[in-house]
Amino acid sequence: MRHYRALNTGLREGDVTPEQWVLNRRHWALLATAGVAAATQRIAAAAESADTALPSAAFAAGGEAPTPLADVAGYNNYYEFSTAKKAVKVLAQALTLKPWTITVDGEVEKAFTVDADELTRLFGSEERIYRFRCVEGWSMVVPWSGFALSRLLARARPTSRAKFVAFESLQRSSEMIGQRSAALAWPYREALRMDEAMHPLTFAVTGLYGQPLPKQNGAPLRLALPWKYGYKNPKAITRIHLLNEQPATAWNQLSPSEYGFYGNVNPQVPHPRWSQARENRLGELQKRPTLPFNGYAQWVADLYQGQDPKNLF
Amino acid sequence: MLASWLKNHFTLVWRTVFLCSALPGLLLLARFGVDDAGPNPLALLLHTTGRSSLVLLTLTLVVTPLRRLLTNASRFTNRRYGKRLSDWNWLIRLRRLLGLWCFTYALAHGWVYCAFDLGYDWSAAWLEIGEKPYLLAGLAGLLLLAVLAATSAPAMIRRLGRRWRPLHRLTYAVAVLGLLHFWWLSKPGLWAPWPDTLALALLLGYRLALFGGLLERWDGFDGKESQERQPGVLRPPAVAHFLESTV
Repeated sequence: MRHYRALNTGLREGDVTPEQWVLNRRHWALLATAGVAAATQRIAAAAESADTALPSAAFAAGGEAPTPLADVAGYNNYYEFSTAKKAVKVLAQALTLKPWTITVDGEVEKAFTVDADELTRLFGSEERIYRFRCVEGWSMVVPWSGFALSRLLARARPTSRAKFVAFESLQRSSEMIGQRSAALAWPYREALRMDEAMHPLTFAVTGLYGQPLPKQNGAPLRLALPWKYGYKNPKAITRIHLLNEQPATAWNQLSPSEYGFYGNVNPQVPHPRWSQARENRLGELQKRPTLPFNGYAQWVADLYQGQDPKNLF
Repeated sequence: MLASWLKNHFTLVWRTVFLCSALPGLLLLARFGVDDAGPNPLALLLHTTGRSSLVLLTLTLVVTPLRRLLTNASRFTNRRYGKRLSDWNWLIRLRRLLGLWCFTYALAHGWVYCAFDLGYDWSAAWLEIGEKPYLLAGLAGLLLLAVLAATSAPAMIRRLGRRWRPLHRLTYAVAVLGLLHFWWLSKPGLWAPWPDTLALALLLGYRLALFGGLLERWDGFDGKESQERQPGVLRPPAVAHFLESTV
């Protein structure tokens, strides 16, 4: 049984820590008793300040130059289309993006379904430059645009029973031809602990390089969690399901020893095939060292205090 | 006749095979030369050198069964030339070329790994060899190839005499190590190593069948090269075909 840490215990004012946006049971119980209008206001306020709770340095990837768009949008791991990274760009164009709805349900007070076109209007849009580290040992720097996932979750008002957030991607083998073979259990499923999902770094992505998200990068909605391996960033999300128990996730199901539930970038935990101590920044020949939590330790390490680092991969 | 033409223009054949073997390397150099190495240049280098090495290794193992196949095919179609195993002896002279190219690519593969992946961090190398069995298989394969390459010159063949042939059967071990290396580093469920595996399984299976007695050995196998065609004992093709097909 995994527990996420309760919020605000012993925090001083001015402490900029991720936990303050972990909405705990008491918080939600309070919200439940408050008027609907007031609650909505508070959630909106909470979600808004979630974006500003981190210094802008968290969204700048250490000033590293972004990987060229041609590489970000031309070198994709997206098994729904193909296991060949360069083929995805071509095959993904078969995907129909309209109509597309995203359902948020499960342990929430107000389940809702939103059209993908409405996301920006409802939750806003900002640009963040994040490092991206694939479990296979390559990495890039990506200017995503989108909104903090906490905004979307707050709108559904998670109940106190919500401990995990499961993401379900599209299953449509008529267009996603990679789904015609059982490389993974379709549809693609990923999940986060509630505190991870509510963390201000956790980004719901709708755009890339200031443009709408290309199909091969996971349009219309994907996640970007810069401190986790790429497989923790599901693409083409259709359903977000809050639940009490830790759900099964696609890669973890396939090989639990290789792909942990957390998927945190961890150079200490080796992988049988790829070096997790070094990485291959796209466009560069020489590998570089991989940083713990992909360089985001100062903002996310607190989430995992007291957990055995050996299990954090 | 293509068969005799090829034999009579062996230098041209040799140069063509040389150029084809060099082609993957030349294309790599060209891509880096025009700065078009794609999004992941390191993966491009590693994959091209590794795959080329494995393909060339497969080709060296093709030579022996190919001679037998071509001889049989020539007999079956009653060609004027090519019905004797010795008519295809020139194929053997390509084997060292293919083998040395195989070693060259394997060496380049190892160097690219050490220089750009490992960054010559030998303490990390030691750790990773323990963690990743494919590294061990690759290293063992490369070392064996080095031994084979070092003993491939005519002078070494003469010096080693009878011991040369068993020594060079290590090629089979290299093939197995190469396949293990490939499988262990591939994501489960991917098809990439299958073509190489099927080809090598067929070629190694052929040897197993010979050693196990399932397939009949014949002249030309195991060092007993068949005699070159003697002008004096030429028989009319029809008679020769009858005689040879009943043996």
